Amino acid sequence: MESAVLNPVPGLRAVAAEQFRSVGLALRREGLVAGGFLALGSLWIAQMQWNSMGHASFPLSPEAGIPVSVLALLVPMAVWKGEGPAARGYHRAMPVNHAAHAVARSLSGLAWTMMAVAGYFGWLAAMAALTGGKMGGEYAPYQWVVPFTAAAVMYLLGSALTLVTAHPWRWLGGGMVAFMFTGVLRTTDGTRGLWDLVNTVIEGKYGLQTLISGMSPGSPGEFGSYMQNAVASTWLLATWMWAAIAISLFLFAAYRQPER
Amino acid sequence: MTLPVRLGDGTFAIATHDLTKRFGRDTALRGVDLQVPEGAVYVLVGPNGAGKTTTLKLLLGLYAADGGSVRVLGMDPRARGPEVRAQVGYVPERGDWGYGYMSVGRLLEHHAAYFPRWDWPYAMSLAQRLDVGLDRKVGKLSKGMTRRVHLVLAMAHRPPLLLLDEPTDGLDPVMRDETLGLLAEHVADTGATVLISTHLVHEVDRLADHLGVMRDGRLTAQLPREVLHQNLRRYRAEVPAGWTGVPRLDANVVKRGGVGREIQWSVWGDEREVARTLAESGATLRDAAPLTLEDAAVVLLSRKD
Repeated sequence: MESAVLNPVPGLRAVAAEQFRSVGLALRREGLVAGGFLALGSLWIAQMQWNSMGHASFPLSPEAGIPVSVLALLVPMAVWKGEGPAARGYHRAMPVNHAAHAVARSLSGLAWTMMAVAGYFGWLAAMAALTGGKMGGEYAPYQWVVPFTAAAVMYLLGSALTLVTAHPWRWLGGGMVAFMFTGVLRTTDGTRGLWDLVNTVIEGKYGLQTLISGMSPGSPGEFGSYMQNAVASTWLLATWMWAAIAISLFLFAAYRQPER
Repeated sequence: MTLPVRLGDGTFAIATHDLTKRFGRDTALRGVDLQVPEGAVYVLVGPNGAGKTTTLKLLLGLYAADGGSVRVLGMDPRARGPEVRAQVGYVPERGDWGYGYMSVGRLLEHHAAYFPRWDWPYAMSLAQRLDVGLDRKVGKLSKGMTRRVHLVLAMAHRPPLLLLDEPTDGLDPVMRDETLGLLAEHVADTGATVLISTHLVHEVDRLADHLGVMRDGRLTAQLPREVLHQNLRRYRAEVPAGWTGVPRLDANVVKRGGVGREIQWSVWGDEREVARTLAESGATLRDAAPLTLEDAAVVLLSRKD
């Protein structure tokens, strides 16, 4: 039998709006911590100004977005806190397609992340303006987009990890340990190839470093001269490539969430 | 003896056929034919690990079956999961649903956004009767309070089907009584079908009108309460020295007990027929009484195949 009068399912717009609000609430504590750091940064800049009698300037540059882009990898863990694959019962029991629901929540987190990056650059701009620092005049326009695209890609990679594993922290930590271990052993015969592969993924022409730094002149790394020659097309290609990988992994994770 | 495992023809809010679910090498459900009549309060009883929670998750479309079919209000939960879940009020077995950063009131708002027919006055009334504090953080609730919050979430959109997994677990006696009263009122008001999974049958005794017994992933019995009441009885009889039993009844004896010359058997079958058979064997019947739902569940669960 099928009941004549069924309860309606919620509209996707209502679900997305509620997810946006609830993710904002979930990230409130992390937001307060980030705000605290910015407040401390403001105090530190103020003290620098005071000590230098107003001569310490604070420039605005896109490289300042690098740490934020890397941190974006961790944001999904805050978005889904308390809701690992084994404890996602409530989310999955809602009258919404599971994959679409996971996508809605993750994209809400992405929207908050983008706002956080914008807020961070707003703070940097304010600090530069107040201290008379350079407002980034020597940078190409595309370099101001890099922090946002990099943060978005890193966020999606983090989301894929968080959706499919119960312990994303362990996977990230394990990955870092493996990376360092490979680096230590790189001089040993037989592991050089592995190191080269890892190095290509991270520091290669189209590697994560290109994605995150935009190959800007001030970026750290031992390939300084190579970076000096960077052009927008290289960054664009790296970004497209990493975005495609991140979106594919994210969608795969959203549609193949484990049953627990 | 074969206990009834099918309710026959009728209008079922829930109907599964040959439902099978495996987790790796473990088989959690083996050919389950669950039939929950529309408007019934069906208690699914079984020990921990019997497959009750897995059954409920299959009904919600949270798991994919490895075999067989599922129909909930006429819909396949795998094909129409969101529509099925919109008709269901679900109380999960586990309380760790996340959202610990929300207040209870905010969680209710969150939930309401998913159910367009959410009834706020009813939700507030439920929260008041279950003594749910709206300002408390979800992550800091006790097990019993979490259960009460889940009950509010499950009922406030007046769903036609309630799936309650150990709904009284963690509730103190007063709150358990209040909860059962609320459920009874809810059923009376809405005509909802209720499927309660529990291993604490006595706590939901007064609500149940159907019983399903699950063991090792199989549904070993499924029947209306009145059929159970009529057919499963405890017989107390005195037997003569050297009494060798009643081979004809052996297949129908669900549980044997007794001390000395007094036997106490739980037997499935027509009371007059059983009494006559016992008398013919030389036993003197002292009394034959129906079992309480809990006793019946214990007897059926402890039955040796």
